[in-house]
Amino acid sequence: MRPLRAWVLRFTGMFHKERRDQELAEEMESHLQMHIDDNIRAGMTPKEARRRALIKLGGVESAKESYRERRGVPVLETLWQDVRFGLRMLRKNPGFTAVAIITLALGLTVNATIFFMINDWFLRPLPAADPGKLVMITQKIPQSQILLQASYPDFLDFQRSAEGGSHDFPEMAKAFSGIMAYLESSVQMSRQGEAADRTYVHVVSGNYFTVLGAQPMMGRLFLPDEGRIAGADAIIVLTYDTWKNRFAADPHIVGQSVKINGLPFTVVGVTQPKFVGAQWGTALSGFVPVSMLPLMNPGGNEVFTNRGYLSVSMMGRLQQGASLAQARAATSLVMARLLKDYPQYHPPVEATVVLHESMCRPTPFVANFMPLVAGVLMILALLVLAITVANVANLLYARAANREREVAIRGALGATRRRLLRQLLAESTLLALAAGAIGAMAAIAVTQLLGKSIAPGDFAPRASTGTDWRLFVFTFAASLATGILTGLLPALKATRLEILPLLKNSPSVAGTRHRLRSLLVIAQVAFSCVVLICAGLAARSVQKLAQINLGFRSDHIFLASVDPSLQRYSDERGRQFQAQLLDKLRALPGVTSASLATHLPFDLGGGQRAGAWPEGQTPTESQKFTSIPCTSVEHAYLQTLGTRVLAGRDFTAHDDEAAPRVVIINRVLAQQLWPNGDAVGKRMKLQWDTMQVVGVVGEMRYWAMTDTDRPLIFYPLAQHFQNNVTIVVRTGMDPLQITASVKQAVAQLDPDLPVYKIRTLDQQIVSSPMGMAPMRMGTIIAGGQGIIALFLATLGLYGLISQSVKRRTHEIGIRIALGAKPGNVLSILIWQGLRLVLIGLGLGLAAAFAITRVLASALYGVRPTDLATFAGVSALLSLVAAAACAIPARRAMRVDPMVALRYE
Amino acid sequence: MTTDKSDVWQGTLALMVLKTLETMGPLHGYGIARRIEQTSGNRLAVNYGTLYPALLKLEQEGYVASEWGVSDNNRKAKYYKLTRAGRKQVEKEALEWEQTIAILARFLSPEEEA
Repeated sequence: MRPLRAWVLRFTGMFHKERRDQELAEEMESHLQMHIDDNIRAGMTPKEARRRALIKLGGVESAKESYRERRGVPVLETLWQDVRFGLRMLRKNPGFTAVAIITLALGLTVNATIFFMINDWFLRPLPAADPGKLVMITQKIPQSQILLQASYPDFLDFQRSAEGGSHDFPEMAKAFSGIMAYLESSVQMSRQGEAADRTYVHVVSGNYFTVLGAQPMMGRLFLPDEGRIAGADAIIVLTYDTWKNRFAADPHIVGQSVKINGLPFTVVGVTQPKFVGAQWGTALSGFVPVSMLPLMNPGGNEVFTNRGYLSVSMMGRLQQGASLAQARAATSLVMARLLKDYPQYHPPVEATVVLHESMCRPTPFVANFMPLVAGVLMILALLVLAITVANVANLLYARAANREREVAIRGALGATRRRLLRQLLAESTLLALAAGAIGAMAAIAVTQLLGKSIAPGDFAPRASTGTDWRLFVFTFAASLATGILTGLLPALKATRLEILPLLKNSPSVAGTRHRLRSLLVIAQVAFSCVVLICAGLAARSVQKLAQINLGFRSDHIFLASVDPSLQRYSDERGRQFQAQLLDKLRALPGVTSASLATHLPFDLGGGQRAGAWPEGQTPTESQKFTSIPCTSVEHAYLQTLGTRVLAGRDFTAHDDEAAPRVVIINRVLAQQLWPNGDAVGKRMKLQWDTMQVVGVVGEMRYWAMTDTDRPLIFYPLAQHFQNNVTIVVRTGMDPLQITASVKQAVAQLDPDLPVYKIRTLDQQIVSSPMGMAPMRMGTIIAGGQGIIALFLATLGLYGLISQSVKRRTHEIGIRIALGAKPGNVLSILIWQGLRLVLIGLGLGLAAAFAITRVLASALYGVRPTDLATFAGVSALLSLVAAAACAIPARRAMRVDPMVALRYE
Repeated sequence: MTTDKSDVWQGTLALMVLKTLETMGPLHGYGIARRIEQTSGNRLAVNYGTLYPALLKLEQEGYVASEWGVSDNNRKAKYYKLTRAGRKQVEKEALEWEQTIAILARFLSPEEEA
């Protein structure tokens, strides 16, 4: 206790120094005066009294110094001096400081961003009681290493044995204190008088919250006997965020009714603010008992009763002291019994796999390779950091040369090498800490951007998990290490120098070994050349893709989805709903045409059917097994998209349920099935269906942007009915302007039916993974990397040439004195740098030539050896490099020969 | 002159200061120095360089507290006084010293052992 108290006081003693010094001086003065008084009283003259007292007391200043050392913490005080001096030096060279900070910030941003992901995936605890005890229980297929979910009836057996309800497996009760199950499901949530939303809930076993150890913020959570009887317990627990945002923090929400898929549910409680459920990173709106699934979802009854329907995730809580191996052994016994009792329902699984919850993000079924992904990402990030460190060290090296004299003088004045080292390291550490601060903020921004860049699909949105202290601790530690690593070599070099020759002004003999640094520059030029060429090729592909004829007009098209199947619409009610909706949409001002389709161009997971052949022929093997994208469309669909029917006719309103089955195919399929003749009017078999071809459309980019020869089939929605459709509207104005009117039109027909995935067709093309998204991402990522690499290469080159100029001042002075023109001097120095660039460029072009061939299949409309791209990148690199050399070289031109010669 | 006086033995000064404050009550730095010199029969010399850092250390450790006051002959002076923790510390350290001295005494006069 005592030493701690003393240290605290010593830390505070570092502040208010002047006041404390003043106080000490007063105290010593009064001490002296009292001594003098006594001496006088003893009979001395005042002068003698003073002299004696002073002798007796010893050196005032050295006493004050040892008092000060005791008062504060000397190590910290000199550190503070170093920091202040460092700041002053950095402020004096704003250009250098900015470049060094930006460079290090690049490396640290990449690292912080990757750490952000790793933190989210593996490190942050799930907001639940004692999350280290939570485990996921999955089963594994031995051949494929794929992890599988469980069926709900199987889960019930696991749960019963864990709760000690079955005497066959006493091991289960020893390993687990409980096992629960959940499944994620999209639902349509609404409340009286409000618009409906499509959101996501966990459909859970009654003990979900008990196993997680959650407490309600309001109301209650589920009771153990809830969720057992199919169709019972129409209750919902809302998440805090949903209560706050969706229901405006209504204090009386408990006991009220909300509609889920059109069914009334009673809100029984709201969870704690931090609670996210069992699955980290998923934004849920609430939790409903699994017993409601048979009513809520078409096919929900299957989940509840079918042992072969693997659809739920199982999470268990380990008993105090139970190990993963113990849990695995116990669950494997249960699994083996289930396999024996119900062989017909189970895939040939080997055993169960039990994993800690923190290893199961984003879902347990990718747990096998997540650590690998994270490891690769982290290694890449460290590589980037190493490159930035090398470059800034390079820059500091050049600066160390400029500061040789300053360091030498400080050394001569008595600074020890350790003190000098600490001083120089303080500077580089300051740089790195500033860079780290930028890096942490940039990482937060980048992570948010990455989150947004995921194309809107029909899956639960990522919850924003926010930041936590780990990110800041990591970034701080990483910047500290970076700062020391960056500064160490240059500082060691700067402080190793002999003092004398430098004070005498002679240029030092060291510093001729540039080989390593030259290699660094060459490697970076080569690398940036390769990456920039890849980026250039991707950019050219995007450009070409934007120009191609899609086979439809993508402008002014509004898209939105509705899913009445979740509201359990019958086909009859669905047809009526669709007809009424189209009437309303077509009557809206600004709408040129409106239609419905099951799959839009570049939708993910479109319906495919295998096997189309001409009626009356025996199908070939390829005809039997080629899958073809099939789209059910309302009759005005092709017209709304602006697709021309080349031969035959378009669909009409008369192609309804009662009419003969008809189909429109594309020219690719027509030529495959009827190579020498007109397809129109022929009859086609599609699995069990037989249809008459009434029209043929031309080339259409539909399934994927780069497809040119994929067969396509369109048939009338009336003859192949589906409830779940996308609304397609061609407008005369900005398509998104009609969003509100479309929502209103749907709400008038069914207020509980949400409209979701609202977008334009142009947006869909840009953001869909089947559209331009991969190519655009490629361009952005490769382009970003290329520009960073170019920046770093330029920096290295600049550092090298400026140091060289500094070293050769004397030589340049002599050359100028002997009559060299500034132009000659400039060309000597520029050539020195350009030589490295040309070597790097040569290597880079050769490497790019080899590498881009691999990319050929990913490119569109450009050859992998596209001359324009190669030439453009070469020119860009040479220009930037020349500029990097020219700036320091111009300084050399201004060398005054007299000054340079007198330097000696 | 003071040539025959030895400087205060490092480490013992703290105990001397504490003991002085225990006997004399609140006292300023000069008073403490004089008292120690007198008690030692003028065989010890206490100067600024050892006294004030030692007082500061005791204050940081919480054994003494200080306060500005006025001396007998009307001079402003900083007075030090023992805290409660200081009193305990005096007892503890005094005991330890007595034991140390007793042990050392046995070494220095070995005939008692025989």
